[in-house]
Amino acid sequence: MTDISFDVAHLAHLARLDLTATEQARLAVELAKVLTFVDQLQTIETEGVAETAQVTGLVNVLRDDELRIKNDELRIEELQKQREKFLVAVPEVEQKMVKVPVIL
Amino acid sequence: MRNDLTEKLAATYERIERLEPGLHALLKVVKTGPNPITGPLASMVGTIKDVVITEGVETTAGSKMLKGWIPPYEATLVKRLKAAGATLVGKNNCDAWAHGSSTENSDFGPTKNPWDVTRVPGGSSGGSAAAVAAGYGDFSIGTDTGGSIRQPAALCGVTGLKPTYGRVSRYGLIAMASSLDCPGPLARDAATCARVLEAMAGNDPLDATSVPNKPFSAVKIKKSTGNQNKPLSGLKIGLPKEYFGEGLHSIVRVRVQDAINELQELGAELVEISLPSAPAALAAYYIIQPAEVSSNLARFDGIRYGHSTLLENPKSEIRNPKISHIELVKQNRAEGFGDEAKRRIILGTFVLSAGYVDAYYKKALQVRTLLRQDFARAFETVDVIATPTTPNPAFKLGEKTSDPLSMYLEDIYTVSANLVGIPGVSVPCGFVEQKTELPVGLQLLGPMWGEETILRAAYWYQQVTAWHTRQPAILENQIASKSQARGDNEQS
Repeated sequence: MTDISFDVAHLAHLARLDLTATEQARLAVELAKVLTFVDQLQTIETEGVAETAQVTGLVNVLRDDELRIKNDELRIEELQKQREKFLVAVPEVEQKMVKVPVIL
Repeated sequence: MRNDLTEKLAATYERIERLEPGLHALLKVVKTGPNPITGPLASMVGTIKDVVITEGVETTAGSKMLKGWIPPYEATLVKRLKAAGATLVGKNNCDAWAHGSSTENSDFGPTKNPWDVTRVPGGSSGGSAAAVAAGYGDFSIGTDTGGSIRQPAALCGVTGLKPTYGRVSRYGLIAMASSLDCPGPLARDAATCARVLEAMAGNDPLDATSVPNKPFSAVKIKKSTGNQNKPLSGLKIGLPKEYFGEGLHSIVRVRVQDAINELQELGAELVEISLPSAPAALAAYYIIQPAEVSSNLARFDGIRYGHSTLLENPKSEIRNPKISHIELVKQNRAEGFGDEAKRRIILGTFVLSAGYVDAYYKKALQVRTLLRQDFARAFETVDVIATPTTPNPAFKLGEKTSDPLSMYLEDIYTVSANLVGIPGVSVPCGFVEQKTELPVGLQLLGPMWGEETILRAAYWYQQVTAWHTRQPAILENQIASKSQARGDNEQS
């Protein structure tokens, strides 16, 4: 596994990260070292062993489907307040909306 | 009561003002006045690691990506601490996004170890541990993903508890690795950690991974067997041989062994055990954790909040209307994230990418299962597992920054608890003499939901030892010399 030469530029694109040529070269060296270290796992026999992605054992945690605020006017007022609070942190706002550059 | 708290707060702020220039344990001092609520934590003063969201108070996760961000909501644990009467006085410095073991990855400069300011306090909750050691209040809240509460607690000579995964709500935590993250308390002693945990613990509808019906009682940790001299008789403590092998500092080994002997004196029975998969835990951790990091950090795009190159560079070419959303996001992230976050994002993206996910990510999840089985087997015969918290005492600032892997190795004894989900506490158990005194930590691990058991062992240990009461001499000297100077001024 240690002979992997991985394409940092491609990974950076997948991760939506601009990296300079210097950063890419340094990361390639550092990551190769880490991958060499984690390669010790390949010596462990895991045939037929289940995967553990979480430890609580909880599944399908859902809340009851209930109406929380019955008064529409109150609800609207609350949502407006929330929107104001969130917009404070937005770098570019237009007509109380988050401004985003061309996507397609 | 109120007056006492007012005085206590004044003294705390004075201490912070005096020591902060040399320590940098805080990113923000909060002065909201004494909490009027008379709850179980009334009159207690604390600080909060800056990865925990505080409504209306700047929260940065130690990263310039979030510099200046004022959260519009409050973490559940902060709500609960305030409702219990605690007064919060500051946000602790930490490695950016909690990535690190030294706080040197903070974009706002490192925290210094109060026992020796040329050394690191550990991390990522280094600001929390240093704040407790320096006497900024009674407790701090840290987060532990691979050792980030226990390791700095050991290096700063304080008590630090990583609770069972799911014991404390993660709602309002800036997520690092969601299947591993556990917020928990740091304080001088186990009894204080227990009180703070009791106030924070419990199911939260806003965190689907917080587990219901798991009561925790701080009072129960003081339970004795009735025999005054042997309060821990009947308790079986396992000593895993994998944690006492090569790479362990010789004096750390002696101090930890002394502490284990002390637990035996208190009545505990010692049992040699083996955790055969434990040596592979760090390797599995350095696949699973960056995989989850790369996913969690994907949300920081600088469009809705956080660092925006548009605001920083109003005349930048990026304003060109032809620049696409994706280019803007890439630029925002390139400027907002530091080196360690970038390293983990790329590593995590790699181990999750098509063609490698089976060899790396899936393999690590299988090893995680083997590790859980090891610990489950061990806890069939013992109640507590005792190990060193770290292989070495605090290292020098800058010593490991050029070699990320050597920094990762500092977590070798702590990561297993996160992969398995079990609780662990680091307890001060002596010092390594190295010109100045450097603290050593004993780690006590318990089974899932076993906080009462490990804190009970820690509590009785602290009844017969005084390591946790020791104050950093260097700080006391600084304070003494300064107040001496002030006294002289007043006389003149």
